[in-house]
Amino acid sequence: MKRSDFPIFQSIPQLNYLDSGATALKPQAVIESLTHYYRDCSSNIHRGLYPISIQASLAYEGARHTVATFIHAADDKEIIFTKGASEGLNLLASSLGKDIHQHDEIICTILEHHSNFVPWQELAARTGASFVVITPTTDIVSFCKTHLTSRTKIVTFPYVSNVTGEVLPVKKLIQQVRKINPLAVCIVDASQAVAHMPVDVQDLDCDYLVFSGHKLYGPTGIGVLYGKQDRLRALPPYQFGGDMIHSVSLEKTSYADIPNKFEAGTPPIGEAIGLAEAIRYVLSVGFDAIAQHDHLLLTHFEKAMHKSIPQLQILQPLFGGPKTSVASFTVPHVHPHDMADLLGQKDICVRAGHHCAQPLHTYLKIPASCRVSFGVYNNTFDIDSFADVLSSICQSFL
Amino acid sequence: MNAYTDEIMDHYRHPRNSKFDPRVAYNSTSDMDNPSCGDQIQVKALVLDGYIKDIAFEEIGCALSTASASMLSEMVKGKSVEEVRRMTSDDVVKLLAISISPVRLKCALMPLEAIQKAISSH
Repeated sequence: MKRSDFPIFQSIPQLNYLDSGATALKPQAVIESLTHYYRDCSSNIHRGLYPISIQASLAYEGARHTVATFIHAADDKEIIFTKGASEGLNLLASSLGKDIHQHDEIICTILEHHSNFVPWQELAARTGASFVVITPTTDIVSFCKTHLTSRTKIVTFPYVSNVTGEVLPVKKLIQQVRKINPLAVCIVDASQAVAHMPVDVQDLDCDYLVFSGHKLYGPTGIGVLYGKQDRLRALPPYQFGGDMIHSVSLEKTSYADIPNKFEAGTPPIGEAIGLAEAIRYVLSVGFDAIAQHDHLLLTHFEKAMHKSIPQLQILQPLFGGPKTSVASFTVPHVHPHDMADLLGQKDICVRAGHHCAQPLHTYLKIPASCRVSFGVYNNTFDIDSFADVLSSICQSFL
Repeated sequence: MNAYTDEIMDHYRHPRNSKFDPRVAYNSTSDMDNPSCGDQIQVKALVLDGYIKDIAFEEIGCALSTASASMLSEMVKGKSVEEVRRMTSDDVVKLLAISISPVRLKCALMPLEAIQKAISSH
C-alpha cells in the first residue's frame, strides 16, 4: 500500500516486517523532520530569544497542537509529552498514588501489557489497596456492574490488546464506570490503537489516555499523556526541575500551569516534531483506508494459516471484541522462539515470547506465543511468504 | 549460520537423559526458568565423592535449550564437580557447534546454569 514511503525497504528490499505492534517503521517524512530539527534549528525551546530557538519552540508547541487535534482533546494544554506510554502510566501511578490508601481499589484487565499492570500492582502493594484484575468470566461491561464499588479509585484498560488484537468497548466501559462510581479515574492505554483507528478522547470521556510515538510511525523516546484539564491541574507533579516551575525561592517553589508542570527538563524536542509529522502521515493515508487494509491483511492471514498450517492456533479475543491488526498464535511442538529465530533468518520479522503480557499467557496456560502485527507497508505477499516459510519450519519440526 | 543442525534437531527430538530414573537416589536438584520465553528445566544429579555419577533433566523449552540440556547431560556425566563448575558459555557454544545470536544464548545456557546450581552444594 505505502511501501515506497519507507526508506528501510531501499536498504533491505527483502525485509518482511511483521512486528509493527512492537514498533512501526518510519516513513521518509518523519526521518526528514528529525533531520530538519537537528540540522536546521537545533536549539532549546521556551526561553531562547533568537531565531532558531523561536523556530524550535513554535515547532514543539505546534506538535502539541497536532497531537491535541489528532485525539480530539479540548485544549492543547491537555497534552503532556512523555518518553512513551510506559512513562505516562508510571507518571499516573506515581502522582495518582498520592491519593490511594488502604481499602481503595485499582482495577485493570488480564489483557494488560506489563506497562499498564506492574505500576498499579506496585502502587497497590505500596499502599495496601486492592488490585483487581478482570478476567473474562463474564462480559467485561457486566463485570463493571458487579465488581465496581465506591472504593474503586482507578480503572484502567487497553484500547486494543497487544496479544489478541481485540478492541475493547472502551466508551461503554467508561459509561458503566461513571454510572457506578463517578469519581473513579478512567485510564486508557491506547498504544496499540492510535495507528489503526481514530481516537476521540472527548467521545470516550476518559480521564487519561496514553500512547507511544514509535508505534505510530514516529520516533522512539516520545509519547503522549492526555488528561482532562481539571484532572491534570489537581494532579501533583511527577518530576521536578527546570521548565516545570512558576517561581523558585529559598523557602518554596510554585509550579507552572499544565502542561509544563509535567515536563521537567529539556523535552525530546526533535522527537515531538517527528511525532507530529508521523500523525500527518497517518492522516494522509486515512483511517478508513488503514481499517480496510488491516481487515484485508488479517482475513488473508487467517485464511493462509488455516490452509498452510492447519494445526496453528490463533489466540482468540477473550472479551469477544472485534480484532484489529495483531494476531498471536502457537503451533503444537514448535516453540515460538524456534519459529521466530528461523523466520528471522529469512528476514521475516515476528515477535516471540509473552509480549510483555505474562499474566495473560499464564491465564491462557501457554508459556509463550508468536505474534505478527501489521503496518501500512505490509501486503498479502508478505503474509504468503511468511506462511510458506513457517509451513516448512513446522514440517521440519515434525 | 543455521543453528538448527541435524545434531541439534536429533537431540531436540530425542533428548538423552530426559527422564528421571526412579531407581537412582539423586542427591542434588535444581529448578530454573526463563520467564521471558517460558522455558523451564529441572535437573537431578547423583554426586558421589566429588563426581557426577548420574544426571537427568526434565524440560519444557525450545529446540536450542532442549538440545543443550541433552548434550550437556551426556558431557558432564562422570566429570568432577570442580570441572563442571568451571564450565563457561564458551564451552556450551563449542559443544553445540553452532553460532548463536545473543538473544538465543540465554536459551542455550540455561541448562548449564541449572546443572551448576544443582551441584553447587557439593
